[in-house]
Amino acid sequence: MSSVEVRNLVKKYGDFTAVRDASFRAETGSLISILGPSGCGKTTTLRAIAGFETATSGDILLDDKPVNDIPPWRRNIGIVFQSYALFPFMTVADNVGYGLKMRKMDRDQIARKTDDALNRVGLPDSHLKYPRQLSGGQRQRVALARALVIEPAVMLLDEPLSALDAKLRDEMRFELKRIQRQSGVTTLLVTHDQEEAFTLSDQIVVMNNAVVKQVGSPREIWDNPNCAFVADFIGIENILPAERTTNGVRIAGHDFAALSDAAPGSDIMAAFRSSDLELAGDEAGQFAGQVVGEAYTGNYNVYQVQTGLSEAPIILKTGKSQRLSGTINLKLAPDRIKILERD
Amino acid sequence: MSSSRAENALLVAGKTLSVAMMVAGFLFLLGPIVIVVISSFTSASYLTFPPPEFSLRWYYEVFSLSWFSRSIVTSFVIAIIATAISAVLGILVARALARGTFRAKAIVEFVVLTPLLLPIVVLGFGLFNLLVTLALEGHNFVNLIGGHIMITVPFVVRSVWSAMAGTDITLEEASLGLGATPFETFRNVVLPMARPGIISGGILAFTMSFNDVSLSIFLTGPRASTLPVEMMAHIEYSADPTPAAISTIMLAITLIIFAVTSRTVGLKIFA
Repeated sequence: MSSVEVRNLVKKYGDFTAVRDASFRAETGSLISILGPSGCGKTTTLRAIAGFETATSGDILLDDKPVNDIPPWRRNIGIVFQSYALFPFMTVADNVGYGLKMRKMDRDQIARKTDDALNRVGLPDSHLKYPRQLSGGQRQRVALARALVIEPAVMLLDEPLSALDAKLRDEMRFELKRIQRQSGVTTLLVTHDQEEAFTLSDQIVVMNNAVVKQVGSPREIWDNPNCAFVADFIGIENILPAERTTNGVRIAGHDFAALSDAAPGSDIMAAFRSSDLELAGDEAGQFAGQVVGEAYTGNYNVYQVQTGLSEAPIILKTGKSQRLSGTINLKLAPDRIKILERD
Repeated sequence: MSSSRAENALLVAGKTLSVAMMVAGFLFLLGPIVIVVISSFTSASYLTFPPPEFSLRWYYEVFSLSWFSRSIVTSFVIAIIATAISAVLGILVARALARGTFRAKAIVEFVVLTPLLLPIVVLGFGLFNLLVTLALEGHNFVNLIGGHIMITVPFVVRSVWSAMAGTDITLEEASLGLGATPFETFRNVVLPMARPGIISGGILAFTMSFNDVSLSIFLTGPRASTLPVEMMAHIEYSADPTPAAISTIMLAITLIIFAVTSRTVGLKIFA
């Protein structure tokens, strides 16, 4: 097992830049996610680590040693593809044993390790089946076993859960975490699903338009997104242009107290979650709004509220028993306002 | 109501028509073959249908012909060698066309597939003239193999290429990622994935070579001649039913080869 580091990685295809100066590091035994929308360069980064893409510039380091010149078949990296890429003409056991066979291990040893790997992923009785006889979740487990059995320095997962239905996805998420913790293998996964990234990862790398926007633990990113893109991507509903004042922010002429290190006068974005808005009741709030739209989602109600802060209505969430209509007064605690760079 | 009745009537008419077309198609395709097979068992000394009486007379006759046993062996050997060589060539070319990105790709594609479009007689005539110019026309056996490779390679390329193009490239990456070298990946993943294409291309190539007249007629000579060419020569001189018997034998051989290949190396695992 090793640490993985990507240092100033650039990948260009002609005039198109797929990855621009990406840097991050995953410590030995940790699980790191690259999170971003499709086309952001996350899969290209993963493929560069695997060795399927050559870096235009920059380095890929395993255990602090550059591996740019090592071909994929000598990197000892376990890869789980989005499509799983199981060999359709081989049995489950042959699929899992393939990497060991390529390492010229003897038959008994291959059989033993294959058994062990299939047990670990919870598929003890499927040796002689063909991939087409398995369900989506079982195929995923085989793909995991095949990647783990070679005792890779690093395991790479490309959108590992995207091909599964919602219920199976939740189940496999726990499985994936359990298997990763048990094997202790350094793991890098690529996903566009923020929930997947947040529940699985020790570290998250958020990418957009070929650029790494933010690197941090799930909690850091959840509490302190550093730019409007990241805030939007992790689901913060209200992101408004604002200006920094001495002790807060000014949004469309309204002053709010806020905690920030940004210099006064600078153009920023102010963001707050729909659940962080508080109703001021009859006492005077900080600003007033008119309810213009509502939706019931079961556990809570979502409202569109037209306010003086922005042209588009802001989003407000309440508990399921609390229903709103007409004109309402709202307030916002200083520590709930996030100050973001403009992208 | 009435419009839906009209639609139903149209549907029934359509179905009846398509069944009729299918029956007509089968009759049209299989009719001549059935007639040849049946009339080969005639006892008469000329070809009639239906035969006045059934006998194996012409089969005994065929096996006593010296040119028959000689040329059927030649045909077999040539078909096997030509199929093997065009399979190897075809796989390599198909691989280059399916995965390679090179500038001359369009040219290679054109050159390799042209024989499919050209009348084989034209190809044969050209090849014959070339061989005469080089004073190589005497090497019948080698020339036949070379000529047959020319006309069979495109079939192998076509079917292997489409099998390879339909294969998910991540399977190869999975193999590389698991520690297989590009050569091992080719052997362990690319070839097995292309297997249905290789088998069907091989069967096509074999039957093409085994049954060819148009090209072989220019290349045969005293040193080597194939069964279909000898049969053509025989038909020119006599009107006896031996060609019908030979045709039936060739048909049987082709069917047996097809059945055996699909049984042994079959396409079962991909079903």
